[in-house]
Amino acid sequence: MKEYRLTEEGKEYLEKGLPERRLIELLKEEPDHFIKMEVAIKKIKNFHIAIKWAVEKGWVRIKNGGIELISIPKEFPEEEALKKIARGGKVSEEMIRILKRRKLIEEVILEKEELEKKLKGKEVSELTHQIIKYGIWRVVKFKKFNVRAEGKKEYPGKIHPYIQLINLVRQKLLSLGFKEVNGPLVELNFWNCDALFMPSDHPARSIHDIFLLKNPKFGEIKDKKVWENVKKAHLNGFNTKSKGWGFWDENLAKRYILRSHGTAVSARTLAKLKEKDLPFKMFTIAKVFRPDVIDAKHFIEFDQVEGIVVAKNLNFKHLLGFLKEIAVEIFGVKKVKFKPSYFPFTEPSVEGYIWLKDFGWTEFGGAGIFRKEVTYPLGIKYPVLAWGLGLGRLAMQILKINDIRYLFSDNLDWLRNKEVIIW
Amino acid sequence: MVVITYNKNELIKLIGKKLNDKQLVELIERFKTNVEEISENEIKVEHTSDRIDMFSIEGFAKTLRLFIGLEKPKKPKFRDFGKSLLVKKVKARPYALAFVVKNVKIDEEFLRSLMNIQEVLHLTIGRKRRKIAIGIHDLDKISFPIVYEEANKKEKFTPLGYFEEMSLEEVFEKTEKGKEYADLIKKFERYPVYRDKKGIFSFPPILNSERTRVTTKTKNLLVEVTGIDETTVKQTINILAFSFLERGFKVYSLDIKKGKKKIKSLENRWEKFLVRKEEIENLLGIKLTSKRIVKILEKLGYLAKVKNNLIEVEIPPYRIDILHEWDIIEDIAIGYGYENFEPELPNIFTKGSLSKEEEILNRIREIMVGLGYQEILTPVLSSKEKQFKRMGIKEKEVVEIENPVSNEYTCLRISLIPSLLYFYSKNKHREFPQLIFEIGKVVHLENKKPIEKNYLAFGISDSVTKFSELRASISFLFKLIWKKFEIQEAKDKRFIEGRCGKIFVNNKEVGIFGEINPEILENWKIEMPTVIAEIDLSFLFK
Repeated sequence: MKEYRLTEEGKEYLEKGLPERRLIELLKEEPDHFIKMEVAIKKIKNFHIAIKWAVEKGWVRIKNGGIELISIPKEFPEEEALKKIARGGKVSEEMIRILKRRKLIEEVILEKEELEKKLKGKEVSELTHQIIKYGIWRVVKFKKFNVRAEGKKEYPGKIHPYIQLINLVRQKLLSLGFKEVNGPLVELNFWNCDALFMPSDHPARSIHDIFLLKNPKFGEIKDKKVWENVKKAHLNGFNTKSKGWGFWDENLAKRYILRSHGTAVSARTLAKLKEKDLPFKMFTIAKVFRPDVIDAKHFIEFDQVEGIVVAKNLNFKHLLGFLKEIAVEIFGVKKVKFKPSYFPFTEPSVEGYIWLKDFGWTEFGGAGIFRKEVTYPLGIKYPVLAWGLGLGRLAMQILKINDIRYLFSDNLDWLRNKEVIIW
Repeated sequence: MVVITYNKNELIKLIGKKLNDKQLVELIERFKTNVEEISENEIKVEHTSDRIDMFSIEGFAKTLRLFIGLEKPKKPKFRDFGKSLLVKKVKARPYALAFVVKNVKIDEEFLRSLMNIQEVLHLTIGRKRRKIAIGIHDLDKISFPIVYEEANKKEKFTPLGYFEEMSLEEVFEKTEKGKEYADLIKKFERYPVYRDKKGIFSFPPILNSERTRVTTKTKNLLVEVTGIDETTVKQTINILAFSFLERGFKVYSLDIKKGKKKIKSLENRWEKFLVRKEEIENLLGIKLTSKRIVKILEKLGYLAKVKNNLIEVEIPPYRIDILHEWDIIEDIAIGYGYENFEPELPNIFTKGSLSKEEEILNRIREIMVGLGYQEILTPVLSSKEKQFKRMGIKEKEVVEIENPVSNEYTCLRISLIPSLLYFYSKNKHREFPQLIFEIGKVVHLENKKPIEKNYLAFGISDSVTKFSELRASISFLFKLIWKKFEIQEAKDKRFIEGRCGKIFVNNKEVGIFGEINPEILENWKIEMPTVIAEIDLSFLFK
């Protein structure tokens, strides 16, 4: 049970009309209902208040450095309310909020005895600071609230659903003892392909699979030893007893590209790895780019999770062990199976499948042991287990979406209302 | 990945054992191949690009038949045809090999599979006919001796599928294949041809001649391969020769005369590899007896015998994917069956850690969310139009793609402000106020070097300008990340004059904020006052 009275500003407007009324009236007189900003500022007292409210109410809009009248209000409810309050009458809660926000009215604070006399035995709708402080709550009843009413809608800030998912995957891999590593988006062909023993004319290096850059075009590989070793691996197998490819396109290796797979980060990491770092387990969540058709299942920019394990005496059974562990941990499945596969940089290579209730056996990722033609030139003499997962399918499954483009959703309602990930 | 559709019944016939769909799929999926679709008559198989020998229906059937033990691998005999192919100097495509197949029975089905295998080999190992091109001819229409040589552009022949003679030059204009593959040889003075007594019968890598067309009446074949790389030509000739053998036809080698050299076109050379038992155990983690290893290798088509602790393996000439001992060991794993390996975790300890950079970015996210901003995510790929033109600023060098697939994505973004404005332009009818932020990579080009940075941008769009709210968010953010900052008034075309400030940390500019210029809002078709701040977060990672 609050009481209100007009502020000085409120009294002024009661007498002279609200600033927005003056603005509307000014505009009405203009021939094309348009007035230059500078003119309006000069003519209207409290111009900033006038324009703020006129825009908010949708009566005018700002256009070409001026103001245009777009709808003529029938009435000015605030003025009516000011009149009522001045006479001691009642207005709606909503109007009170507006007038308070505009600082046109203020609450009349009553002394304890006065307030108690006024409220005693009555039903009040709002518990106020004064009612608590003066102990008046002991002698009043509280009006019942409708607990079923929805309440006023609020949109709190939220972390993007896809970032939530990425963070979840990062936590899972952390718990499996992997170290997170990052690498560049703008990559040299050398690290993306050549260091991974992909022959210069490999089909996956064509312009249909990799974005080549027009600018910058060529870069340098600083580590000349690695450069020479990789060159030899392609030409004659280096010191791995491999036949090699018998050819290598040096200029192609120097070309800048947009990273097309996360394995580029693994190659860079291996080149820097020291004996004392072993045993070593790393992962990366790598943004990659491919010139693909853009549809519900494909976008030209997406993420891959890639990882490697380097230690003495690792073998194929360990590769399957890690792949299974990762699938169980990240996808939360029980059943995993493997089948032969092919990647230019691993031997043996494997494809992993998980059992999903709704989809059946579903491919979740690939893995393999890096070929010696990959590891030896980078100075690694131990087996390197390498694995990779696509995040797209996981995202679609966990976020319950059927179009990969939601990951870059430009729909604010979807982002505001999307549930958080509980996995 | 190469997807090939086969006639299912033909495949089963060539395998030589009745298999139901389930058995067939199971067998195929023991290899790197996957079955995409299977119907009453057809089977669609996804192949990997290493096992080119499995692309032809014959090669595919052979691999499967060996695996189920219907056949043991053995070295075939190629007879001598007793005639020769003279290979002269051909600048455009220096290498050529050919062989003969006799007593073939050709039906429509076989004819189709011949076309299919040529097409898929041209595409894959041939790199769209650049590396190799194949021609198959009716042998009986050819009068030996034959020669592979260069011809004058004006020389004429009747290309396959055409009814008029045309000069080699005209083939580029008048035929579809000519148009498609002209780039491969047009730049040369003289063009490669095969010639016999009657004239040109093949114009590789473009077209065969109508004269030597293969029909269901053809009894004997001449198969020729030309190319720019000797190894690839040899590999292709082997894959083809073994495919014909698989049909039970007789395959004959030709004498290839090149300068003073004379070789057989089908050398039938099985390369020897020594595989160490120890290496098998180390790589696969399983113990196998020598006898078992030999058995498995035979299932995979190798000839193998035990030599102490070594296995001597002879590689069929069509297995062009074998470069290294490990390639053979992978086949042992396939023969052993991936399902028979017990997944196992090694006894090693490693400490996990998260990237500090990513973790700092996550702290920023938490602050922004606490301030009420909704996170958005937009592509790093952008266009100059969005980065410069619509922002009303002067173009500068950016990281640019040579082979874009869409006008919308031709370069990497240098700022997140266009991303936010794009987002606002797409949400004109959603509830206001709209508080959004993005944390993401931008890439600048400095002295021809790409520099990647993490940026933060946040904005408020509402019916009235929320400049003061935005400014308060900036102060709060910097307070929470332990950084003192200063603000200087700034002039920037993207913002309303007098309503723009630059942010400095340790006297270094790190960001900009202000109310977006209505002119820019109009470019993006945004109708609400909008304020945005953009901060380069690099100073947090030093």
